[in-house]
Amino acid sequence: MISALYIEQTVVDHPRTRAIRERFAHLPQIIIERYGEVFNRKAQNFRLQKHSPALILAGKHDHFVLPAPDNYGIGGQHNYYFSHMMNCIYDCRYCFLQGMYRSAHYVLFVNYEDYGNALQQQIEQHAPHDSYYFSGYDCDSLALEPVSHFTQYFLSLFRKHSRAWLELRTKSTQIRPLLDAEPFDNCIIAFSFTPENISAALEHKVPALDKRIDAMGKLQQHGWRIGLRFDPLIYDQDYEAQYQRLFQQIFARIDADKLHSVSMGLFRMPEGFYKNMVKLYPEEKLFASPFDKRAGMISYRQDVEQSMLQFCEAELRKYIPENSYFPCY
Amino acid sequence: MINIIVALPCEARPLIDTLHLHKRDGVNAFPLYHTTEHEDAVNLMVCGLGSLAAATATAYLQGLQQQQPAAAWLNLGIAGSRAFELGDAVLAHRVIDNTSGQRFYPGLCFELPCATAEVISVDTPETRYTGNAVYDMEAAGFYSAAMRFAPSEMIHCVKVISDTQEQSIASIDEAMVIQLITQRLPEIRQLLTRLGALANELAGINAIPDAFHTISARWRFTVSQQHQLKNLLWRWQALATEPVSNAIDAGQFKHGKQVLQHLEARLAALPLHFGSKTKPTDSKPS
Repeated sequence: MISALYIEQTVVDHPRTRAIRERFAHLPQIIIERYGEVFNRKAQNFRLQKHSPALILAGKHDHFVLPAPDNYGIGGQHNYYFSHMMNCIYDCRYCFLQGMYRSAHYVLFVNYEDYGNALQQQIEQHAPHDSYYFSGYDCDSLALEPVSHFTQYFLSLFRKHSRAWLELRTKSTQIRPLLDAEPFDNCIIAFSFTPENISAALEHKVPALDKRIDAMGKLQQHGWRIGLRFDPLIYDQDYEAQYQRLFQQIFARIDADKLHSVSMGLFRMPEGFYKNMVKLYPEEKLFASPFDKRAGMISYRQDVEQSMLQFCEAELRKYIPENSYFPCY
Repeated sequence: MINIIVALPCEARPLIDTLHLHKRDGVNAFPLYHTTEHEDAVNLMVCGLGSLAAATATAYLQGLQQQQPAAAWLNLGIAGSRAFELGDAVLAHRVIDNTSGQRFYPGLCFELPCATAEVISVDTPETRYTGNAVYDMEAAGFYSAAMRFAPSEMIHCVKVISDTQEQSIASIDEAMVIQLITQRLPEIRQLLTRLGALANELAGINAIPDAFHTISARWRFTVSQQHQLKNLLWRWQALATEPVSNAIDAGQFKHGKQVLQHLEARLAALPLHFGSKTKPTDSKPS
């Protein structure tokens, strides 16, 4: 899966770096000055790199916690995101990362303690009010867990702050650390889903739908609060039957009354990112979708969007209480 | 297609023999050997010693191939090191120009056929080896030039260790070089296979649908309309089960714009389903 390690000189001696280097002792390990000299260089091909990306271990120096984009939330007023990692081990054809970054390499910022300090400050600034912190914006929160041990550090931080909500967003089945931990109320494990045939066609390297639903069920049974994210909704001529089936599959396994939140979002892509993605995958069926350009963003035609939203929201309401639904559009 | 740059005829000889390359007539600046017998066409150019020669030959070879699909690039040659054994094959994971300090990072996105190392390119033969690096004279010049034409995942350097702390550079002769490289042909061929696969994938990404040439020969399109036509043909390939020629031949069009409007309308009516579909026959990438 990982082809090589690039390691910033400044984090060579960090305990997380040492542990990861030991784990990947069989791979080329290349010391670099700054991650940008590998990650941001010209003459890279994201699609070819995705065959076997490298892992870059780096230190983050600023902008640890950032305001979340508009409409990115689950009912809170103060929404932030933080990214301990850039890029994702999965390869979803609709993902903005492939249009945004030149490189498919994974950048893991190992200085979690600095993130912790920044989060702590942000949390205190909003205390005693609620504030929300989203992980999984520039990466999948759990997918690289066996290497990153991300949850081990950040769960213990948020466990101490009951008014600070942590969302881990994932398509992963790497749930062992969560099953080994004591659940707490202000942590939401949010799973992203598309219908099975769409997932099979577009979400490359993602675990099978039934395995993810099963993992989610286990976490709910263990006491974790679960979120469902249907974001982005993906159009297919049979989307009605497919989303109906998806909701049936999920709610056959999940107790809807215990769900923390359900959200739905639309495909929205800055035109520049979209063009990059089409250049990488010109033959991709997704890019033959009924898209439109509005205000510099590529999205489904408004009539298509409205039909999908109306249908999927109506279907969802058959399963979930109104107060757990949060549209993200 | 794979382009190989080597400094010396004796470095080239094992590859010329094993790949059944033939000298191409009419190429005078540098000797060029090639074959189209294999699944992937191979070109091998002998550039002479040094980074400047390697860069010049790389650019020259690219210039001969302007209309060709994407190529992978390989610099093969001998090198010195104290960290490796005589005869070891080493794939560069970083190339450094010792004069300018410029650094290059080949993209290692395939199963590695051999060990990797930093390759430092020097202007004159180096005998004082430090650290775990490998020393050569061409890799940096080659890499700097090749990056103009291909992504770094497609540009690689393989060095076979010919001199070490124990084995003096003075003891190297042609026969020894041929023997050392011949011994590493299995690893080199593995790498060529992997690079060939990447080159084919990149050629597919950069391809123009076949029907583009046919259609643009029948009607006039502005540059902007040509881009639109390519996009429509890719969409046609993704969605349609019949060749685009069926859709075009049925219509009477005076202008390219009418063709685009017709294709757009036909595409809008095609169902999009993320399931299996039989591919149309005339829309394959060229």
